[in-house]
Amino acid sequence: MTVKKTFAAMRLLFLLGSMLFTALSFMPSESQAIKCNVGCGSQGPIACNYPCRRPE
Amino acid sequence: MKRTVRIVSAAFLGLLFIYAGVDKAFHYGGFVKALGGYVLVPDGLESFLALPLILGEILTGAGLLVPAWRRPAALVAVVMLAAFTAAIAVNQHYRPGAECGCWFTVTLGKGSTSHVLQNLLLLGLAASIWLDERTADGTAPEDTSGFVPGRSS
Repeated sequence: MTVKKTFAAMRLLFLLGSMLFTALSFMPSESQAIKCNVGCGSQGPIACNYPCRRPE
Repeated sequence: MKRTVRIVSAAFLGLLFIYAGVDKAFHYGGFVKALGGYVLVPDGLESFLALPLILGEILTGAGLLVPAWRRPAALVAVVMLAAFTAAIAVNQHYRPGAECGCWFTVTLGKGSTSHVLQNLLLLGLAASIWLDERTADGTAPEDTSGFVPGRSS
């Protein structure tokens, strides 16, 4: 029974932790984003087509 | 409750794999370039590795959504996530600041410790799905202590 409970708790922890980290990765921090605004318009890295196209 | 967690876990991981694969397919050139930045990927192999990885992610994600395919798909997910975690962790040590190649549509993120942690959690989730599916088949030893209540030796 203890093994079952531990397994269920671990599983819930993995699920909630994964969801949290995934949600956080959808909110990229400025420090993590690669600076590549050059030629990508005014919307910044998120709208940028990687690898950044340099202005011709 | 247990059934809900089971379904949500498989659906979440399956959709995440499909999203990651489709995202990479839409940014194929960028993904090949990002793969080339990984220390564990030998030079010149990135262009041969990209397509199988993308297809593997999409198929694994689809497999996790289909109950009959969930068990093998969860095992493949464990192997893939272990490889991704090792690749990001090695890069983090030897080539910090290299592109992750993870979420092109969302951000052009660098590989970071949070990516390693996220992958470890996803790895645990995939392993728990695989173990749970084994249990559903009646083949998993949920309690390996060997103790059988009410039986004396």
